[in-house]
Amino acid sequence: MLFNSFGFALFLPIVFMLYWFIANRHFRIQNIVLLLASYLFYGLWDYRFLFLLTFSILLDYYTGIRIHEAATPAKKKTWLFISISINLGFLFFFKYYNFFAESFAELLTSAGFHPDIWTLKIILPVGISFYTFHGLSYVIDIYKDRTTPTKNFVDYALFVSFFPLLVAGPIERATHLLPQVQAPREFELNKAVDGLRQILWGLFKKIVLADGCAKFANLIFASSDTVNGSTLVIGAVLFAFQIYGDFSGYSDIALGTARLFGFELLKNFSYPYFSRDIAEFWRRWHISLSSWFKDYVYIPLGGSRKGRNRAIINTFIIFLLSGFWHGANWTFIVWGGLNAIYFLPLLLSNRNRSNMEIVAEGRMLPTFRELFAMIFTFAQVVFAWIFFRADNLSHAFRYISRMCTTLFHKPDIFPVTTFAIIAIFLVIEWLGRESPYAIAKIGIRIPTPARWSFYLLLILTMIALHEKNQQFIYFQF
Amino acid sequence: MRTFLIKVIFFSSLLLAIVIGCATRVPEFEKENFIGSIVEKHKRLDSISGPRLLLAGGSNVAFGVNSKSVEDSFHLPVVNMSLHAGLGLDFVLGELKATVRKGDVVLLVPEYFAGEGRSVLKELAAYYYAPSESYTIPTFEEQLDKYLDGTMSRIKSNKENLIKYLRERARGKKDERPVYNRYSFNEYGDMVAHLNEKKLEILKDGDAMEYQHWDGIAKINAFAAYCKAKDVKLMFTYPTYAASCYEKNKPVIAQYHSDIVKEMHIPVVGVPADFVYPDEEYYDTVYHLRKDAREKRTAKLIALLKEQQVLMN
Repeated sequence: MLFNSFGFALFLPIVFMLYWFIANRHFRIQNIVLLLASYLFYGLWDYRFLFLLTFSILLDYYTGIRIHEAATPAKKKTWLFISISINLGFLFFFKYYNFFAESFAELLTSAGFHPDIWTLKIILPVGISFYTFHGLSYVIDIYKDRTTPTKNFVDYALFVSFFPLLVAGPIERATHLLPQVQAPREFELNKAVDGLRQILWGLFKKIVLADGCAKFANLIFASSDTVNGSTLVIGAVLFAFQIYGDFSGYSDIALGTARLFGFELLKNFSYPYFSRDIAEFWRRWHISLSSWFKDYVYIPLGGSRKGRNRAIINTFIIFLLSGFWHGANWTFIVWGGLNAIYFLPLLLSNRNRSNMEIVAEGRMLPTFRELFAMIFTFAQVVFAWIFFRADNLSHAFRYISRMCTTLFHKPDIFPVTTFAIIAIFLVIEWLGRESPYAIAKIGIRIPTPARWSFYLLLILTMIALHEKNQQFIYFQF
Repeated sequence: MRTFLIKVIFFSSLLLAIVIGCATRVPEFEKENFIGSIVEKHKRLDSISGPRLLLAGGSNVAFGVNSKSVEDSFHLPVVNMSLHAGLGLDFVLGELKATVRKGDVVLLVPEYFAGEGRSVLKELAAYYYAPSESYTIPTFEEQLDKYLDGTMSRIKSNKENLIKYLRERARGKKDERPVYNRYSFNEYGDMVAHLNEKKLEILKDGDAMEYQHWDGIAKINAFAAYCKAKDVKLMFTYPTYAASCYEKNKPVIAQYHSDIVKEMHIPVVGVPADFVYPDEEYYDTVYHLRKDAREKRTAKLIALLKEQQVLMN
């Protein structure tokens, strides 16, 4: 079920009513309602993968308890190893088996052999990367004594499968979400209204910004061998806004939906395109994944505490892993590697934490220096997105080569309306950049008639510009 | 909670009222819609008393065949029934089923992997030509989709037409008639307004295809049985396709062709490569031929049909 579908527009109010009116006697009954709703939500994609999801939940629920109750460190480690191996084994099988088989076959072929490698027709279960990471964080946190396991299976199952975050995150932590699951929730008017407002903004980002950009970005990437360089630059910029609108829009809908049920999820985006360097970008883009890799991979590997060389290696490891997490394609790995290369000079010169505060905080406009830094960072990010979006590495290199050789030609197309939408969107985001999401303060600052007119305008724009059957990009991950 | 529900209900009602208002069909705006040409096509179908050669499929046939040349070659009145791939294969077959009669010859030319089509286009076709409503039996989901997609499309269409109307009022003269217009077709049902237009810089619909076994084969076989019972000759051929996309999708198209040759129970005219032309020969999508290649494709089609000898008896 897509967030931007009619089915979800029916599903959400029904679950909301059941949750607050029928099941409101006890939060444990509410948890059961949410768990059943989450299973229905997921089962409507493909019911067969419910078994995989259930197995993953049972595995981590059980191993979590065993790790906690293990009498010796060695036994703890064994249970942790079992959990991580099985979780990553499933992830590897469903997501990466064919990639490794094909890459191995290509390697052997280039060495003169003619291997008969088996590839399998594997369907990628929606959300597997997300719920696997939920489970991993849970067992690792128990192992590290950051949390204790829950004995209530429903609570744990809900933590992993809560429908707003099940298929595309944010990647939650047991230390953050589980305590909310285990405590009663009170309905709060302001929180619920704020949730609806964030859902509206997320839908606007997806339907108007992302889908509007997708139409032209797809066209340009599909015709990249025939259009000129300036058009290819336009294509890459449009993809940058497509993926931002798509993924951050999804996250806004997820956060808003969770808030309707009294939950606060981790923030996943914080105006990344206003970043002044690539380190800041990565603190603001897909925050839940970046912080996951930082906490569970980078820091355990020693982070930057074990000398310069080790810091360089660790940086490459997490960026490459982050690329690989997105999918079994060399394009994602190169994308990750490129970001590591961008990041290294900042790390080596100890400037990776120099832009921690919000840009131009308390001011209406940025300084020229800030503006230049934002544009430069955006250009770096857009360049890396070419690899992320391309069908394969050869496509990406052809794209870049053609872009460079015919850069100063007149663009073959220039979607004026789409760029006007991007401009309006950037203004709204800039004005709202000190809030959790861009239109959060509208609820406080603007009188009701004007506020409602603004909401109606957003909805009518969505209707007038919507494209049918548009998937969210991150569902494939 | 009460306040929240009252606010939500009030806002939703306001929104619904505005949406219904914006989605009301304005007949004045719809007069020249491209899909409206279904009326003229059916007028021609009804005006011919004897056997006919019917060209059916999506816009690749509407834009890319010179029906007069075909008619002159086979001395059989031709009707180009094709309109839009978005109407779907079911619609095309349903329309043919309601139209064919003894002695007719039908050449089916659907776009690659032609699917079920969009209900909003079918609804639009029914708005102009009421009998077309019976060409497909919509499922509950399609019915629902018809209302939702239809409402959204009407809002879009009203918005565009309102802008056009205001622009014309401001300028004091009418806009030039666009290519996609009900009156852009000739008497045979061929789209002709685009023939001398320049190629657009980027051709649309050029995405990479993914192979899947085409369920259209079974549907066409079922229709073939119907045609046999009615003494109607049915043939199948491939759409035209821009060279760059053909190259990109060659393995998928080869598999598509192989499935068709193996499983389709009717004569298959030519192979996909017969109708591939350089990108410069196309107008706005990888299926829409411009003037010169349209003539080449027509000549090729005539030659292949002659080889088949179905039309020579």
